[in-house]
Amino acid sequence: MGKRIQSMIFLLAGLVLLGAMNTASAADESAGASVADSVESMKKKVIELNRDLFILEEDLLFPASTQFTVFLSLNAGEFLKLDSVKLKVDDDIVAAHLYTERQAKALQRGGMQRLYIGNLKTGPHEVTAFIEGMGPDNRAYKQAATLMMDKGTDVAALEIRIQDESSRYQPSVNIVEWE
Amino acid sequence: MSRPVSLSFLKKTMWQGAALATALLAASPVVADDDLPERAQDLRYGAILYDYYQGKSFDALTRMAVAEHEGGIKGHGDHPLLVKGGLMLAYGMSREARSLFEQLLTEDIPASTRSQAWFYLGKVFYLEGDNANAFDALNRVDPEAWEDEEEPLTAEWHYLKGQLALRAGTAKALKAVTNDIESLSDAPLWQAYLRYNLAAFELDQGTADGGQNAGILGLERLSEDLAGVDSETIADLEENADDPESRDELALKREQLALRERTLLSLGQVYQQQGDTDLALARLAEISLTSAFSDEALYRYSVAASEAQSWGLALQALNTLQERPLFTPWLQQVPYARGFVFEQLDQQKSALQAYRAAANHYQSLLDTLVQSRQSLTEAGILAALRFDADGSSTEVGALSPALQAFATEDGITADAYGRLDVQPDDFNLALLLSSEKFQLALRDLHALYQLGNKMTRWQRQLQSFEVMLETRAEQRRVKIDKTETVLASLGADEWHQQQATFNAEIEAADQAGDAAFFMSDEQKAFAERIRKVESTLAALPNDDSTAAQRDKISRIKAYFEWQVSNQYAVNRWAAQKQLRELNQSMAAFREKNRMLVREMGSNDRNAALAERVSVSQQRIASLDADLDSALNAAREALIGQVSGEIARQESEVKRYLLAARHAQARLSDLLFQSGATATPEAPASGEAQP
Repeated sequence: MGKRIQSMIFLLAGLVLLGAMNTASAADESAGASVADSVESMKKKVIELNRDLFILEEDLLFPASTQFTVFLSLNAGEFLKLDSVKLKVDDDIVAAHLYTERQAKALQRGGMQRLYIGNLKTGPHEVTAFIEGMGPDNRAYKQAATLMMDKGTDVAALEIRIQDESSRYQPSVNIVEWE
Repeated sequence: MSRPVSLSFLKKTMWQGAALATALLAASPVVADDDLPERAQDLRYGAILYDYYQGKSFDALTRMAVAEHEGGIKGHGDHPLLVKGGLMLAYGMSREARSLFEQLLTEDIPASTRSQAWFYLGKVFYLEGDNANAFDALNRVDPEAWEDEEEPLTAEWHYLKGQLALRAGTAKALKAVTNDIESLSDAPLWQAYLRYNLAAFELDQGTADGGQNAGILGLERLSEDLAGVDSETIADLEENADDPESRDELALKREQLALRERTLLSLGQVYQQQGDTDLALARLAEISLTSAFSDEALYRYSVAASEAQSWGLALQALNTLQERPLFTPWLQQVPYARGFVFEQLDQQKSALQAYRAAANHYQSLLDTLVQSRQSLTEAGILAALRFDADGSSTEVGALSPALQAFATEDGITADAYGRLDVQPDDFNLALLLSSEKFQLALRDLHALYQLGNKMTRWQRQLQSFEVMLETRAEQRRVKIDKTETVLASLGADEWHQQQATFNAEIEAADQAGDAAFFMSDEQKAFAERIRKVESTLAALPNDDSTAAQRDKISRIKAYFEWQVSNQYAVNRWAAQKQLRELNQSMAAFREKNRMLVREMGSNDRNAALAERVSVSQQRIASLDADLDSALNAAREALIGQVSGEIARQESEVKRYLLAARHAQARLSDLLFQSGATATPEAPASGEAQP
């Protein structure tokens, strides 16, 4: 009996070992490497192409003299769970965004979202950001911030800055103009 | 024999566990999860980090390339280069990442950056299996130089060093592993994996130097230390899965449970090999029936029970296995093994029936495999896989549903080295899917489809740019026509003539000292009045009154001429001033006119933009051709791998089939000789009770 059991174990173990064997040939390996190399090379070219298209698009659609961009940063977490933002420029809502958990986390870790890019003529403009989310004690939180700005002939960039204010136990929202 | 736990190992054995192990080893390559937020000093860098932290490597790399094109990122030192290296790794560009880190290390950089660069370079070498260079690079890391936010890297550094030491396998290296394990006291999961791998290594070293015992002891201790995690703990955490902190805790506990079950399985295997079936059965019985390792555990349990001649237990384990879909190597052996156990129970008829069923099963499986291999397509392979995705997708072309999903899904999640999160729907692919080579082939194929999607999108975008530029050119033409009409209506030539006439007259009058020419309007009116009076007086009769009037007007005229002469310089200056102003205005007009003519004649800006659009279209066309050939190669590589895997399975099943038929023939012959019929004695399940 013991011998037959051993033979069964041997047979099955043999089959299992066979199952674990890799049947790939050297030719397969080199083909795999070749595809990987060409993919990596293509990726490099595609990134360069995308960079040029990105710049072309901006040159075409948003010339420097009228370009206007708005970024959003979040240096908060304790007093605000960000849900959404709306951006108003001179009485027009030009951008709105609902945040996924992943996006909110990316902001919390130091990322900045380019919320809006557009064109704005020179002169004075009013920019308002409306922020919504969950504040302390799971209470709905809404706040707006406004900035009066004078658009010149260079690129204008603003940052909607949301940050915790420990002294007031709530977040604050400011719009900051970048030089 | 137990093997070291690694990414590929866990993928081979447990999909859920594999995902967690992947997340562990391949945690965001440059900035750890609990990294403190740092305010970006450069808006472009902030936007790069936003994409980076969301795993959008391609977008982040593009933004990085744009920032570099525009003069680089300001205010963050060399950190952006480290991020770029991490992005390249995540986007599957390991060669580029390696050369970037190597380049970075030739520069004069802060100690913290240098240490990180060595760490990531070492990690690239480690993943490429280049142990010597990985060892060298990791030994150059100075964790003391790391900033606080880089602290989480220390655990991974110790783990990688430990793994490399195990690969080296020398006594000195093993001592270093022990030190690394001690250093991982604040990172229990890293420590547990390294402990397991050390124990597995010691078991592999055999009994000559007591390694076998040390290995068993290591596994037993690890199993005890991980015993606090059970299914109930996990179920509690699953109830609070909405909370991000609970989710992280849940992931950790699942990983710990999976490692404990893997440890128990290894112990069961070792005890079984040592002939200690009681301990083997006890350890294997601790593994949950819902565990990802339960198939192998049940199979090993049945073998251990057979060795202990507990045929009922063996049959019960095999019956449990038989109720599961046949997709792992362990389950494929069950039909034959059941026949064998019945035979050992001296139930010849049941054994014969089980062997017959096994033969039928293997024949049917063989037919299916042959058919699968002959009709193998890319779409068929992809339909057999299930990809984890974040829900974002784009529509392209008319493809089969599986291919459509694979090709258009932008949001298939991947680890920090670009490997896709995928599970097998057809478990014939399970073993293959666990291999690094297949994972990389899938990654490359998906990357190529993604590149194709991007190029299609860019082609559309460039077409719209073309339309935009053509429209602008047309609008420009209309504007030029209008401008030309307006210029013509202004009679610009007449203005030039008048200006020339004024210049000539004023110059002549100036040279002639013609005071009358420079008279003011008031003076001219006065002169006219004098002339009219003189004319009237000339027509009157010559009497005293008229003479008196004529004297008076003569005096007035003399005074007037004296006044004009007296104001000549003032009047001439006023006239010349006006002439200068006219000349300036005319010069400005001529300049504007010249500019308009030049602008109307040339279209430089639009032409430059149109040229850039055209060049981009050519680049896309060229890349498109490269993409087609790369896609074909990737498809062939993938199909080749799957075809090879199915052929391997065919060969395996053929052996099972042969063994089952052989046993069937042997038993039929035996029963025929003993005069018994081939009907079973009793239901097999009834006799399977332990």
